[in-house]
Amino acid sequence: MANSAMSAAPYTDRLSLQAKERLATFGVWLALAAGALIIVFPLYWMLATTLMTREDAYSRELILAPPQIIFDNYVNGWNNSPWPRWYGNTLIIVVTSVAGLTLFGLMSGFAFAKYQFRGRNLLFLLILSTLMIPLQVLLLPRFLLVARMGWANTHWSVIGPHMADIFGLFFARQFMLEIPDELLEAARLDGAGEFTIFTRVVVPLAKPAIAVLVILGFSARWNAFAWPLVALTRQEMYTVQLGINYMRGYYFTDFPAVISMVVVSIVPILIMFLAFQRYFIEGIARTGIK
Amino acid sequence: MRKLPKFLLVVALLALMLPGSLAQDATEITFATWGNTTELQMFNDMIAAFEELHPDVDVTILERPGQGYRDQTIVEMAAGTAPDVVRAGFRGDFAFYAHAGGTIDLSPYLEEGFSEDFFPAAWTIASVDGVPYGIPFMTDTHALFYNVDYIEQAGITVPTSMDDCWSWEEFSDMSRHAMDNSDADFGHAALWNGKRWMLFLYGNGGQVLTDDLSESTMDSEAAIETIAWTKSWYDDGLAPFSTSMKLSERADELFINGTIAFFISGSWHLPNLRENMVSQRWDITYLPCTENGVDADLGGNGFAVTRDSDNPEVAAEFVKFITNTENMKYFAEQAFFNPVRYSSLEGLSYPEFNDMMLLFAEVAETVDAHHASVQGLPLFPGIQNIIQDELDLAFVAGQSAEQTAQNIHDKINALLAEE
Amino acid sequence: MVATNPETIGAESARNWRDWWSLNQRKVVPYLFITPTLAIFLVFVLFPIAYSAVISFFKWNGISEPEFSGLKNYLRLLEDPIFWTSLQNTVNFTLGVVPLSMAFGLLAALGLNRPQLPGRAVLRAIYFLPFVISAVATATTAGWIFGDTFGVLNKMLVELGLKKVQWLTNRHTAMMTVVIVTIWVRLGFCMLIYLAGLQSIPPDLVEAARVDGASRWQQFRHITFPLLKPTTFLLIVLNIIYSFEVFDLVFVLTNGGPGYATTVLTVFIYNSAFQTQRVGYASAIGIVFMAIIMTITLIQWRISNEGGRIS
Repeated sequence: MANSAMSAAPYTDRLSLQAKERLATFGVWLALAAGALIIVFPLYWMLATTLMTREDAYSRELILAPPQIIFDNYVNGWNNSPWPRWYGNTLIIVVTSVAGLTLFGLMSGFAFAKYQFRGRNLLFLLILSTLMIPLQVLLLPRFLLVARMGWANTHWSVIGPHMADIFGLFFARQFMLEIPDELLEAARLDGAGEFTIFTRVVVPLAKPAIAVLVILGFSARWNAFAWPLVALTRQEMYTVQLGINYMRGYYFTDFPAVISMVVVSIVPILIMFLAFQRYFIEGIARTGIK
Repeated sequence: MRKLPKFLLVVALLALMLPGSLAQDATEITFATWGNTTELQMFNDMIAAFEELHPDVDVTILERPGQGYRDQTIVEMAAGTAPDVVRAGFRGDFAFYAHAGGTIDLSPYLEEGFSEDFFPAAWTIASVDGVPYGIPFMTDTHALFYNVDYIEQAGITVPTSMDDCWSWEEFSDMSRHAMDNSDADFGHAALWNGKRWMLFLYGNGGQVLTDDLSESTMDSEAAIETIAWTKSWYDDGLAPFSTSMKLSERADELFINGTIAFFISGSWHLPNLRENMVSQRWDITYLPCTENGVDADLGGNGFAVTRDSDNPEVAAEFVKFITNTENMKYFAEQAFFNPVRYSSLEGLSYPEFNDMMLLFAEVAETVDAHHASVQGLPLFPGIQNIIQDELDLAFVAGQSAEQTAQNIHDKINALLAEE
Repeated sequence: MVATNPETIGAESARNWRDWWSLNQRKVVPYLFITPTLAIFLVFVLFPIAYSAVISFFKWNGISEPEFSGLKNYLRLLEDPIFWTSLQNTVNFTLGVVPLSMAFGLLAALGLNRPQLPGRAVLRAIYFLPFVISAVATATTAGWIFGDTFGVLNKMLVELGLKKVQWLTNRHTAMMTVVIVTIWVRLGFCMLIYLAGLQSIPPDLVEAARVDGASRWQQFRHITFPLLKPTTFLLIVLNIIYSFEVFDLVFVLTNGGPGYATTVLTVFIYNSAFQTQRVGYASAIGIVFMAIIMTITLIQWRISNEGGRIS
């Protein structure tokens, strides 16, 4: 046993080794905590700005914490624009497209992982290679197409393209590769059809992958900017991100009000992240990267 | 898991219903505009009045950010989904949309002599080769805002008439003097773009293009001088770099919080300053000038009807309504702009800042005719972009005035040759 | 004559169909499964890109009739200094973001991988937090923090008796600032992927090296890092693609300025198409840009395959 060498060492050495280890851990903790402070500072500053008066926010003096906490910026920012409508739009778009990308991602990930069919590798490569297309090239032709389909300024114009996701597909496929073939064969021997296998065997097994798809998809769709910016030109159809951009481009910038709406826009995504962190991290660890 | 599909169905149905539910029997006119709260309120009032006159018409206002307004409009024109009525600025927008076929000739809807009530410069900008592709609505120009407290601290007196205006050198000196002898960190700043810079160029006797508008004259001595002088604001530390052409901080906010002593911009800041610049006093005066000419910024905008409109007649009627004498006057008074109809000047009185608005009106009269004709070109958006990008390189990236002038010159000529 | 009963035929064909299905469903089903995804890509990605490729041979402002112009857009591209500047900027951005975000991410992951570390979960969450915040929100806040005059950072520098830094208004520092903001965003992602990689390394391997007397650095250098190679490779690929395609953050934070100091290719494409209305030209830039990304990815693929790894 490897331990025998350890126990042969003098007691004092082992103690100092332990102490050293503890010291090292403390040092690492200190460094990580310092890093965490730097990372948190912008978020703190965001929040602090929103609780200050306009004068304090634009003050020429350094004011690190609001001298008196006010919520006017939230009230002003919220009343300035139709935010309930924008949140509603975003919710419809995000929920529908995440449902789509999760379902379609699982289906196609399963197909690419567990079936032999003609053109499989070619099609997979084709889809993966679209990752390399910069979105900016697509914006105008895609908008012309969407307009031709009568989808201009509808939720569908954003939902449609967002219902497939390369990362989603890739993750789903990686995950499915790990499902043992024997499991599927056993189901087939029991007389299950392929659809039944998918809904009864694969989907239940893929719960961690679903968690990843939903969470990654949610944050990507919630945060999407460039395509909605082009596709949704009517203010009543705006998403939250477009709303923030709208406020920034407003005649007179009232920055504390803008930032307070930024803070509000981050809250749902933060709750989502904090609530499902565990799935998310486990999901990436399990699916990813072998 | 079993509940999920039903939930999805509901969401999908909701998504389908929302865009469809807007359909109505009445003639629908969509009107896209930018604007601050006051302006939008006034547009809404005008729409209500219009709908009362025309009960069968339903006007929908589409609020858009001023930044990127053109981009959006162009994308929609490309797709054939543009709103019936769009707002267009005095920066070649009218001509650009018209030239590209995005907007329509309004002359069938205008009575004989309709244009006579309008200021010629504004009317010309909204027209292409004499054909009206839009109706101008308002105009604005720049003056010199100053922080009264700082001016007093530094013992500076400002010009009281246009004839007394500071020369460029005097202004730079005053700016430095104010910076050194008051609590200001910087002397001055402008809320820039390529178009606004032209007031100094024409004020120095320069021109962007030749008289027949066929070639660039940006390699002239006057142009190089103007670039060199505006560049010196930054090189000499009078103006903060963050207020260069591609601004990262707004000069109006710098003025409000006391960072700068002088601020070059237009009358639409008045409500903002009244509301937010509370701890210090402020006023306006004339911009610096030269002996070589006189010019003012020609800002402003109006409305055009798009080719995508299904009811161009109604759309034109709406445009005529909001630009009529009463509405134009009312809008100008409330939002602090100058009207572009002679008839709107009668009895024009601003509820506040009346004297300042008179000064702006006085300055606006000095707009150079050639300057105005350049701003009416369909290529002007392109020209403005060139000027703006190159000046930014001069102001913040150390590009020399000569090189900048040459680059602008070459690029504008290339742009003209392309057409 | 044999009387044919239609019902029998119906039943028979149904049975035939069922037989055929049970024999062949494994061949058909995969196509059914990939159809939605494939359709979406065909309609919303491949069709527009083909359209864009066609437009790249036209002079077009987006509204009026396109005019065929042959290779003119492509030739013009070669002579356009702004194109080369933006390409250079994209490369600089990538060279800044990829190694730094990965190095910091790896450091954080190594630290967080210590089993006895107090507050591990909290720290991990904090490091990852910026990744879930939208680029619009990040850029809006960054512009506020890094502002020359209003920015809290410069106010702090002044308070400490130091000189202000022109974070976003100097052509030499603006790109650095954009890179710093991007690292803030990407660090957590790299950390997370590395953490996953570290956790898949069998602890006995490292333990064995330790017992053999290897120093911490040696353990890392000879055991951990080589075992992380696939993770590193994946991160390089993902980060390069991300960096080349970065748009939202730069567009909102600097819109390419000051001058062209932060004009990356995507911003150049967007501005060419929407602000200067050269849609044909913008398409040509896009096509060239795509070719560049594909070449880089192919080279990476080659390298990874030569390393004995087949995906």
